[in-house]
Formats: sequence, structure tokens, C-alpha cells
Amino acid sequence: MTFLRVIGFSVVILLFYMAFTHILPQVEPDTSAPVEVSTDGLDMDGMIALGETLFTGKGTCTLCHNGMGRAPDTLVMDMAATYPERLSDTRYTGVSAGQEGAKAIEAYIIESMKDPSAFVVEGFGQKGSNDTISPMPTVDKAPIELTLVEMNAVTAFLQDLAGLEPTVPLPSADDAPVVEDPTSGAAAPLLTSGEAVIDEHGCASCHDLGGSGADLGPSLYGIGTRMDRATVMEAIIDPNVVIADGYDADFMPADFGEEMRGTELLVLTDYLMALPDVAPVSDEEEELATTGLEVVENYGCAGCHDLDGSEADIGPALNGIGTRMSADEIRAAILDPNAVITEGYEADMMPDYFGDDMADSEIELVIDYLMKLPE
Amino acid sequence: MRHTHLLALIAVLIAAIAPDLLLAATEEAAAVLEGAPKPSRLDYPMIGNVSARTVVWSAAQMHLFLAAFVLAVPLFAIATEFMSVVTGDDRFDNMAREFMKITMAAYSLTALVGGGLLLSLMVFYPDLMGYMVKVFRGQMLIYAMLFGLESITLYVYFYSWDALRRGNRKYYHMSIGLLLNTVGLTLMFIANAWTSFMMSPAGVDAVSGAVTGTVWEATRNPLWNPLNLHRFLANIAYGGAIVGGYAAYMFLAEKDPETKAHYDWMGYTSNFIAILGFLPLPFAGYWLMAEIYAYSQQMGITAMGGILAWLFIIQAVLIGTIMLAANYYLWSGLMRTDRGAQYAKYVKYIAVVIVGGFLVWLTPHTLILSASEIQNLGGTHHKILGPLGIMPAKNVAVNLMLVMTFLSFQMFYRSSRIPTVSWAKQGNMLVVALYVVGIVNIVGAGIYGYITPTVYKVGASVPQVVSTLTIIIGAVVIDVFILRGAKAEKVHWGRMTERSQYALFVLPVAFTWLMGLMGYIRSSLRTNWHVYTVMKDNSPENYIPTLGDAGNTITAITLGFMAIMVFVFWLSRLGQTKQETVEDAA
Repeated sequence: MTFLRVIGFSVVILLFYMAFTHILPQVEPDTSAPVEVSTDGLDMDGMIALGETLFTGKGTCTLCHNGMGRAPDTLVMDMAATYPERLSDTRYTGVSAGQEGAKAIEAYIIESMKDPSAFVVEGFGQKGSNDTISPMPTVDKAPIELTLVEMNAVTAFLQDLAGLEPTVPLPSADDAPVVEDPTSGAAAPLLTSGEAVIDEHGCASCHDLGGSGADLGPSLYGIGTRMDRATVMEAIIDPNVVIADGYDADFMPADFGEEMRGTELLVLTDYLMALPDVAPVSDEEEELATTGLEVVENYGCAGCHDLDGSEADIGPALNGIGTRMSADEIRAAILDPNAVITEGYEADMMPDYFGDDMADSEIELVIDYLMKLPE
Repeated sequence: MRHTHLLALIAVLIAAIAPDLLLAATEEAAAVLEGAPKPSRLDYPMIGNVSARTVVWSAAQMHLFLAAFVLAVPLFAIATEFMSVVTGDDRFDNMAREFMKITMAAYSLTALVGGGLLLSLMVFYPDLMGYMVKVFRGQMLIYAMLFGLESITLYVYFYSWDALRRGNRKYYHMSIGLLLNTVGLTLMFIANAWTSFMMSPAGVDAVSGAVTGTVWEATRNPLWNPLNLHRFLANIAYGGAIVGGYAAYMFLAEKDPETKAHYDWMGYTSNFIAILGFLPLPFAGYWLMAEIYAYSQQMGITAMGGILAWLFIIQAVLIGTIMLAANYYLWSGLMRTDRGAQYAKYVKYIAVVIVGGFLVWLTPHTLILSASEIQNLGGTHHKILGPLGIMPAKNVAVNLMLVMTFLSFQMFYRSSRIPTVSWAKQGNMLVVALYVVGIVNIVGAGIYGYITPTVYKVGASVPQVVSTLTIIIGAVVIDVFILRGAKAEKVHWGRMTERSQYALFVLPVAFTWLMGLMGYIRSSLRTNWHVYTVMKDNSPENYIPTLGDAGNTITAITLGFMAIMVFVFWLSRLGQTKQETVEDAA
């Protein structure tokens, strides 16, 4: 009896510990193979966008360059004033010592990545080194392993951040591809396919893509024959620069360049460039969504509405909509979106075909889901 | 043979067997040496749906559990044996022998699981093993030889116990024990070198991984010594906890009051050893983490502020459980002495501090939140609880918990001794002052941590650690003098509740699971590298599993280990069971 009591007691404790690991947030691992994409055709805006995502992603720069005091908070500091001070600092004897101008700053930033100890900001050196040795890892070596193009992209981002005109060279076809390993554990799970990026950002809710039939933006089928790779990338990052005939400016969100990781932007571009000229005809009957969340994801509602952190603002925020509208009003807004327009928003922005495309069961599911969304 | 001759002979033998241990590859040779292998996903052997990582993980963790136990027990067995010589009390000697009896049964299982680990590594990760052999060369042969020596000394130490028990022979016996522990620790240090090399490689080319240095350079990698100290202390605490579990089981199972008293005393001593190893453990862990930060800030942040940060909340729960259980056992022990009741009134205050410290320690800071959760919380950090999640608060909590645990122990120790020295009152006031000043300093340094930059925040923990150690060492020193010639009160060994014995069970269960968790953290720090920055892990399972998956695996391994230990305890008890003769039965 003692034996069984002791065993039972021990097992209960173990099961408690095990259960505890399950109630904590689970970070699902990304098990996909490394992503390798060419940067050929990337323009300077693309480089800046790539640089920003490298800074917070693969480069792991924000692990230390934040407000915690481990390294200078580059994203917040007035770097326009700081760079000239660094270059003229008597302790700095590197490649840009005593020089001025954006090109010298470019060389200084690249040098700081390849040889972080070339200049250590006061108070940020390794303990006992009297600010002569930097704790920062060399970013072109393992485990970070940024390529030259990637370091140039980070430099372009930092120059742009400081209000300077980026001076880095644009990548060519001969440059090494951008490689990101989703299992490196450096950042949030990486989207490694064009479909995943499209789903995440709800592109199909405005563009005809994957059979959505949407026409708020131009169809993306055949875009590879109409535009070159650089233009497609530019249209994603800075949509108002590239407006297709028959469509209006200021319609597509301008923050995809910030929202997407660098490799995600490149993967998406590759995917779009390879799309056929017309939408493939599917023989299979589409499976109906079984939850409100599935409906929201399938129809890309978060692409225009602020929904669980999407922060989109083309349409009104959907969080807490159940406290502002009744179920019938929400149904009416889905079936005939132009009948009632929320103050501060424009008519003809939301597609009016959801009533036709959604099954009745899907409409009920999404209404139920939206009614329960907290503020 | 003189010692110097013997050492010279050993050196020649080592040089003959493994010259690489002392000699670096020449520059010419290094130039043509191959770098670390770069296996692709397809180069990893697959056997059906068997998860290679789970097999190796299980075998490695099980081997570590067993090895930690069989290496730790001889350490405190010899210390206990030494106590028997100093005090002339045979109970210490008997207990030391009983410690070793449990170890004997576990030893062969350790070797068996170690063989299984080696086999699984060779089967599933041949490229990694090939590279590790290239780096550590002859040291692996020395490890095998030492393992043989460990077996011989262990068997001789145990089986010669009664033959070398009295007079000068006892010193021969203790010398064998010393040799056993030296060999055991050397084995652990060598294995630690392999593990720490995988985290902070040295003696190899930083880019290609080609072996350019000596085995000693690879061995003395940046994280080797912090890991050695951490594992050494953890082994002592772990071994104490397991033996305490054994004593608790025997206490519950036995009916004879005298036997119960023996196992109560054994349980108390084991708990004391466990706490002794446990008290400095957070500081050794702190040093290890500081060295990890110094070696790679990125690796440090991945552990403490990145995707593994939640694991330290689980760690806090486990350590909190251990602290509460160990203290509960100590408080229960006050009933063993007649004067214990006068100290019992302080228990509730100690309990409040320990539970409070526990709650602060498990308060998270950096949370993974959805947008709606951030909205509900009113920001990324909770307004009131958020500040309790950062290091200054946690350092205060852990130091106070350690101080209070020591106080619990000191209360029991004092309850059976009445000081007779003339300066007893002043001495007691000095002890109280030591506690008060130390605690004020711990809390004060914690508050300073809030108003200073991160870099100094880390530095603020040093005076806290010094305060805790000063209280402990100072109180021990004062007690040694104040209790000299003290009037000893009778300790009623065996006068303990059954519930208190379950508290002793919590220690080995929580320790085992905690070690599993820390293994998962340490291994995950390498992210997708076999050997950090030198050899990439391209296997299909090179990602960090979720907390839940890891929890399942750790629990399964711990259950397996507990089953083995129950078997070992049963074997040990079987060994002292005698069949009744016909006359006895009649």
C-alpha cells in the first residue's frame, strides 16, 4: 500500500508539471527547410524594406538594440546627429574616421557589422575591456551569417532611418541569394511560401487571386508578363507609385513593406511572377468553412479591417463590433456594404459580392464570430 | 614507487595512447584539415517513424540522471564516512555504507544507458559523432579507461567496507573512496567538456570548424568550468534528494520504531545534503548564465528574453516546489525536539516570505501576447505585476528564499542545543543583526536595480549574493562558537508525521523533472546548430519543440527514471531480506 501511495503521489506531481507546460503559450516551431530567394531586381525601397525586416528578423539586431540598455537604441536615437559625432570621435580610427557624408556613414555602418570592435560606443563595451571590445557578434559570420547584400540592405535601412539618401549598391543577379532558416529560432515563424504570405496579408480580398474573383485591385494573374520583378516589389512596398489603369491611388495599404519580412517579400514576388495569365479553373467543389475564424481567414477580412492586431484601417475595426452593432446590422453590412457607411469611411470600398460568395452557413458563422469579438 | 614516478608513468601512458591530447595540429596539417561536416537533411539516417531526437534525448537525459546520482552519492558517502571517523559514531559509517548499497544497483544501469546513448548517437547522428571524435580524439579512449577504473574502485570501495573498517585500515578505505571520487569527477568533467564544446566551441577554426588546436583547448572552452561547477553542485543536491526519497520510503514502509528512527535520521541527513548542494546552486547557475552572455550575448538573450523565457517560469515553479517541500520537512522536524515548539511560532512568517518569493519568482515579464490580450492588459506588461517580472525583483525573491531556508535549518539545529557560553545573549543578538542587515541589503540592492540601467542591474545582484552568503557563513561560524559545550537536548528520531515524508518525495521528483527541463533549455540554446556556429543541424528535427511537447518528453523520461529508481530501491531492500528458517517459521 505504501508503495502504491508513493508511486501515485509522485505521478500526480509529474502530471501537474506536465500540465503546466501545456497551459503556457506554445511557440509552434517552423519545421520548413531554409528559404533561399534571389534579390535580383530589388530597388532601393525594396532594399530599405528588406533591411528593416533583417534588422528585426534574421539579423537579430533588436535583441540588443532596444530600450533595455544592452546596446544603443538605434531605432529611437537621433542617428542623423549621432553618425557625424561617431565619425569625428577621437577614439574612432576605422575606415571612415574624420570623414563626412552619407558614403562615409555607409562604410562606418558596414564596418560596425563586420568588425563591431572598430568603434565601441562609450559604456557598451565588454566588461573589463574599457570600451575597446564590443559584445556584438560579427554579423557576416555564424550564427547570424548576413550576406553582403543583406548587410547593404540593413545599411540602406539605417541610412533611411537617419534621413539620409541610401548610398549602398543595388543587388545584381550575381549576388548570393538571401537565405533564411526558419528553425534558427531568432524570430517569429517565417512565412515560406507565396500562398502563406497571401493568406496572412489577405491579398485575395482585393485582388483576383486563388479564385477570389475580387476586383478592388487589379487581377494578379499574368502580372509577371505585365511587370518586371522590381516593379512588382515596388508595387507591394509603395503601392501609390505603381497604379494600374482604372484603379485609384491610396487604396492599397502602404505598410506591407514594414509588415512583411524581407524573405517573405521576395518569396511573394517570386510567387506572383510565376502566376499564369488567367485563373486556373477548378473542378473541385470548394469546402465550406466550419468556424467563423475560418470564414474571416478565407475571405481576408483582416486585410482591410483591424482584426486581432492586423491594424488595417481601410474599413472600421471589427474588434468589439458586437457592442456597436446588432447581428442583423452586421449581416446587412456584409450583404450590402454600401447601404450604411460608418462615419469616417468611404462607400464602394468593401466588395459587395460576399453575399453571393459565402454560403448561408458561413454568413451565420462569421456573424456569430464577430459578435463575440472583444474590444 | 614514488608519487612523482607514478605521475610520470601516467603522463607517458597518456602521451602514448593519445598524443593529440597534448599536441596541436601543425599549421600545415591544419591547412588541409577538413572543416566540420555539412550534412544535408537526407544524410541523417531514418529508421521508420522513429524520432531520432527523442531517442537520443531520452537516452542522454536518462544517462545524466543515473550518472549524476552514482557520481554524487560516493561524494557524500566519503564525507559521511569521514564524519564517522571524526565523531566515532558508527551510525555515520552504517549510513555511508547504505548510501553506497543503493549506488551499486544503479551503477550497472548507468553504464547500460550510457551504452544505449552512444549507440543511438552513432546510429542517428553519425556525422556529428565523427566530428566530435576528430575534435576530442584520444580523450575518448581515456574516458573509456577511466570508466574501467571507476568500476574497479567502486566495487573495491563497497566490498572492502567491512574488511577495512577499523583502525588504520579505515584510512586505506577512505583513500580508495577518494580515488573513486577523483575518477568519478574526472569522468564528469570530460563529459562536460564535450557538452560545453557543442555550445561554445574552442580549438577549432571559427569559420570552417577544422580542428586546429589541442584537445585541451577544446576541453577548456568558455563554458566548461561554469558547467562543471553547476553540475557538481546540482549532483550533490540531486543525490541527496534521491537518497532522501529512499529514506522516506523506508520510513513509511518499516514498522519497527528503531528502524524508523534510523531512516528518519537518514532522511534528515539526506535533506541536509540536498539543501547544502542547493543553496549555492542559483549562484552557480547565475555564473553559467553570465558566461553564456559573455560568450554570446545572442545566446544569452535567446535564453532569458527570447523564445525560451517561459521555461524559466516553469523553472521557478519547480524550484519553488523544492523550497516549500524542503522547508516544510524542516519545520516538521521541530517536533522531534521538546524545545522545537518555541521556534514553531516563527514558521508562519518564514512561510509567508517563501510563498511570496515563490510568487514573485514565477511572475513573467516578457509575454507572448495576441493583440486582443495586449488590449485587455492595457499594454505589453501588466501595470502592477510587470515590475515584479524583472531581475531585481527575482533576485530579491531568490535570495530571501535561500536565507529563510537556512533559517529553517538553523532553527531545528538550535532546538536541540542550549548555549552555555557567557556571551550567549550577545551572540544571539549578533545573529539577529546579521539577518536584519543582510535582508535590508538584499532588498535595498533590489530597489537600486530598478533605478539603474540594465548593465548595472546585473551588477546589483553581486551584493545580494554576498549578503546571503555572509548571513549563512556568519551564522554558521557564530553557531560553532556559541554552541561549544552547549547542553544537548534529546532528539526523538522517528517522531515525524507521514506527511513530512511525502515532502521528502517531492524533492527527487521535482529535481529530476527540473534537470530534464534544464537539459532541454541548455540544448535548445544552440537552436539549429549541433556545434554552435560551427556545425549546423540540418536534420528534420532541428527545431525547438513546443513547451508542451518538451513537457511530455521530460515527464515520460522522469517516469522512466522513477521506475528505475523504485527497482533499485526494491533491489536494495531485497538484499537485506532473509528467508525464515524452518525453526524461525515454527
